[in-house]
Amino acid sequence: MKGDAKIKLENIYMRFGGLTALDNVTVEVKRGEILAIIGPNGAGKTVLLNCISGFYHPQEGNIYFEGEKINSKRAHERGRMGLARTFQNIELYSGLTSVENLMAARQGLMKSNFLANALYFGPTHKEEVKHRRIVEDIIDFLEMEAVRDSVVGVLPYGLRKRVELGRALALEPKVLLLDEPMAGMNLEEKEDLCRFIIDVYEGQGSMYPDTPTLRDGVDTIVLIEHDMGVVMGIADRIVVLDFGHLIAEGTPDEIKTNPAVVKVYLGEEASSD
Amino acid sequence: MALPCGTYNTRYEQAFAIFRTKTHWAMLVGLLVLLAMLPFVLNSYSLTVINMMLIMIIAVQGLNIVTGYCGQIHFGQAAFMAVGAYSSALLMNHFGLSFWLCLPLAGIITALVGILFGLPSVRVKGIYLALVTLAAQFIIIYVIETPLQWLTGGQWAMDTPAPQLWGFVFNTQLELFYLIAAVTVLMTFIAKNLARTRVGRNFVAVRDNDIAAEVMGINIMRTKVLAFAIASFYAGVAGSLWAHYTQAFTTTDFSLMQSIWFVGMLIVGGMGTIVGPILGTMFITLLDQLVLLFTPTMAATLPVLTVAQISSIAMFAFALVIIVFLVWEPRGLAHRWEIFKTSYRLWPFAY
Amino acid sequence: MKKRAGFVFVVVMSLALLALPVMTGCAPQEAPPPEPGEVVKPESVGIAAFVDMTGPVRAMSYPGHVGYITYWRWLNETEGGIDGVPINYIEIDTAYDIKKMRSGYERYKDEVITMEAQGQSPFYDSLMPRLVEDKMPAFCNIGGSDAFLYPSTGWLYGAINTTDLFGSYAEWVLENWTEDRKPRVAMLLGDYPGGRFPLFCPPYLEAQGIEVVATELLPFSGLTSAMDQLLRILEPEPDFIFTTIITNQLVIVLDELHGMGIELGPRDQGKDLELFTSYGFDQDMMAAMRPENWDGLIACDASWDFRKYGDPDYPFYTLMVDKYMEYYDVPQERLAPSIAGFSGGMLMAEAIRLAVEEVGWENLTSEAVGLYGYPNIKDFDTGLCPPITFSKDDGRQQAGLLFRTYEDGATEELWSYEKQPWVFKWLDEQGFPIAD
Repeated sequence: MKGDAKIKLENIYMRFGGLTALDNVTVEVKRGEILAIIGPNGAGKTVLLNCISGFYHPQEGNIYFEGEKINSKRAHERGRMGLARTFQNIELYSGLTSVENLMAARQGLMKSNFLANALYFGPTHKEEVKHRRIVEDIIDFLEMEAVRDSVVGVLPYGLRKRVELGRALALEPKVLLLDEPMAGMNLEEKEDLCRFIIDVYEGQGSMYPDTPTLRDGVDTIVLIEHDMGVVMGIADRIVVLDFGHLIAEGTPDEIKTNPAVVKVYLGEEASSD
Repeated sequence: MALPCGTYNTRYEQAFAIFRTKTHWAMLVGLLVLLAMLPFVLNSYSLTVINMMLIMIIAVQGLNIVTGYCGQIHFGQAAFMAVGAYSSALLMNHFGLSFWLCLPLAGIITALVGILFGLPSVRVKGIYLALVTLAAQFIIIYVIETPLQWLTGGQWAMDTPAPQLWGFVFNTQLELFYLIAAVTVLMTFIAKNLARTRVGRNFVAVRDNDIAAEVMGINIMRTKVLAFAIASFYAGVAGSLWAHYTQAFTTTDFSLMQSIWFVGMLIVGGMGTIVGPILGTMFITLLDQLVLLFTPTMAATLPVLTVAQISSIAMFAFALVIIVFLVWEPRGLAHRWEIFKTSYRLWPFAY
Repeated sequence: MKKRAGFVFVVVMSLALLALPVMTGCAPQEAPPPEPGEVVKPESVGIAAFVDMTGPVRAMSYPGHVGYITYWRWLNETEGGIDGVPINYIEIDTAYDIKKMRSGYERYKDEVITMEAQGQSPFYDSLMPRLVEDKMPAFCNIGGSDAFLYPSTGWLYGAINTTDLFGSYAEWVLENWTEDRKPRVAMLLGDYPGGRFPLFCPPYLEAQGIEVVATELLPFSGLTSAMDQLLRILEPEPDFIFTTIITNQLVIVLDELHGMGIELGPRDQGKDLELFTSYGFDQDMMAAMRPENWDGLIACDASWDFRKYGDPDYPFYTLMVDKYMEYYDVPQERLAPSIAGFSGGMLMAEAIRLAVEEVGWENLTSEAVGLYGYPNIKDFDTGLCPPITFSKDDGRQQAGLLFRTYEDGATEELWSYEKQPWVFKWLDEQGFPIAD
């Protein structure tokens, strides 16, 4: 149901030695929304994402995904449950081509084991063709046919970001976690990427009938972004973090006028004026 | 990878084909025929060299899976070969199993040992893992020689019968060549299949970026251990072939030097490619044999030098070739091969 | 750039292809059949010598090997070889690599009628099926496998038996033992086949009234410290250490024992323990370390190493060493060849001579040398060591042994006797398992 809690973080404490990166943070990601997490550098945004995807296990607090408690699940298990993400610093399989990167992401959806792989003919071949079709749809959607067979290690930055998004989509995610997808991009690239995100969110319907991700879209997206224009433009709801504390939560309009947020972003003096 | 001129993929099946065009198929058939004809033009010496080389190719192909594809440095492949050789010989000598059972069983037993020594790879990485595999080399040889001496005969030679198939005994170099070549072709084909499908992509994912791999739902631990198991399976098959090929072997056949040469062959050939292990093993074997062949001749023509001195100089030359090679082409012969293929396909138009 | 790379690749691969015919082309050509009634002598007789010249056992195998080739070269120069047919000896560097040994064997087996290999016993093991199949007799003076043992399996001759050596050490120990309790012995073995032989010894030693308290193996190559093994060996306080370690290992062991403050020598003179080595006093080794490390060491020489350079009683040995220095331009301080090499070379030449006597030059094959050559050697006196006989009941060449010790810069003869105990025969008779 739209509006249900897709991901719920309850009273999360995450400490690294003496540093408290997340201090009693409670966030709910609702089904059917684009949630943006903003805040100054070092606010704990990426830590929060890492807690969701399972890199960090918080000392206190609970994490629920679709109502199920996933505290003890390991990162790869959460990946298979449908939590896909991209990274702030691109983390691609640099030795593989774009197509192979996307195919690699679909491994969790493939059923063949290594014995079938070793024989290749038969089930593995059918499976490869089936998944390749879906991967090609994603490549087509992200408009990166030209670099389909290029090794991603040598691609320009903007394209690598796009491959990373494609890889996350290939996982057939239920929730997409995007960590600064637009960092370091120029205006044109940002516009392209915004369009992709919105298209994914809305779903493409009959355009890609065989590819569930694109056909139905990913209805829940969590986005960390510094570009306020983008955040205000596409987010349904915004969460603001500062030094590990959740200081505000609300629609873009609410956040724009929230005094605590303005204080964080513009400083003490500006808010006191 | 560029396709040959004028070739376009119109179906996904075509994109997966190893042999894409008619020319490819013709070349494959030609190569296989050449391979089948080889024994008739070569003497028993050349066949011996080629037989040993083919067995080494299997072992290096296995090493390539764990080191080349999965990125886990492995300095103990020869010891795993020893596990395969001894298992195969013992199964045949004590239980009277046929060679056709011994070969895969030796592989499976070695794979189990590989899993045991692959488990540390979950916790240790890089140079530390290299040390663990180095330890595996010593531990395995020690266990075979000392605690299991009652079973393996320790340092003494293990006698192994020649392989048999429905009463046909593979005894001569020529007969063995067909057997070994068939197994090598099969194992190479399997390696190629593994590399281009799900498992292979998982290996590369773990090698290139284990953080991303984990988020993408890959179980890193399982993948690494699987890579060790498959690599060990290859070593086991190579060891089994070695046992039945030599018909008498000792642990000295599987020394640390051999393990290091396996890594050397892989680096020279090119890691993370299927053609790399083949080219690398061929290259090193060829250099070895050139040294072996020309030292007595050179000693006869250059009386001022003894054979020992010439051998030492040859070793220097040998090392120099490899160093020059690595400086000049760190990605190995396989990369040269790719460049050659590309330029051949575009010829005469420079691209 | 890419064009050049492609070109280079083509060159490399064509070189590889060219090399194949080279290998094939090296195959021996068939000789024309001889005319009837006429004895046709071959141009030369081939002997293959597989030696580790660049690998880890060079220190052990090379000195023996140069003894062989020095003798053959001298024989070729003075007598024109065997019965006027020169010996064509082919030296092959195996670098202690089984693949090189095997391929070298296949390459040269048709050109030779017998072969020798020093310190390569594991390879002999693995070549045994080939030797039997090709009927190729082989010779080796450093043993280490069942093939060299009592009784001989054929096609393989010669041995130094380190097990018997430990039997002799035991006799010496018991001869000089004065205390009430049993003497305690630790075994420090080089981790190579010949060095591991004495692992079979303990039942024999215990039967003689000696307690074996510790056994340690020293890695064969790449050894930089033996401290771990020494600490474990010294813990049960042995009175004697029997070793089969090779000379460069001994250098390390002696140095570390000296560093621990352990003095070698008889216990009744207030010293700690006595250490036996089987490789004699090697000049290179003595130059490599402090002389005080040597004090009290007991070095045993197999009978053939008794001879001293310049000793008027053994002019042939002196002549051989002179020839060696002349041929290979070696200074006298670095005398490398062992007498074992000279006598081994003589034995191989004698085997060929006997085979020729039996079947004639025209029928001389490797099989003939194996059937009529080596087995017919009886009481063959090389003049360098006691007469040698190859037969099942022979105690092999290890007949005599000389115990020497080193004291204040000079070697001193301790004991020498003619007949070593034959430990393997004893083990066999007592029903202890030995290699089959």
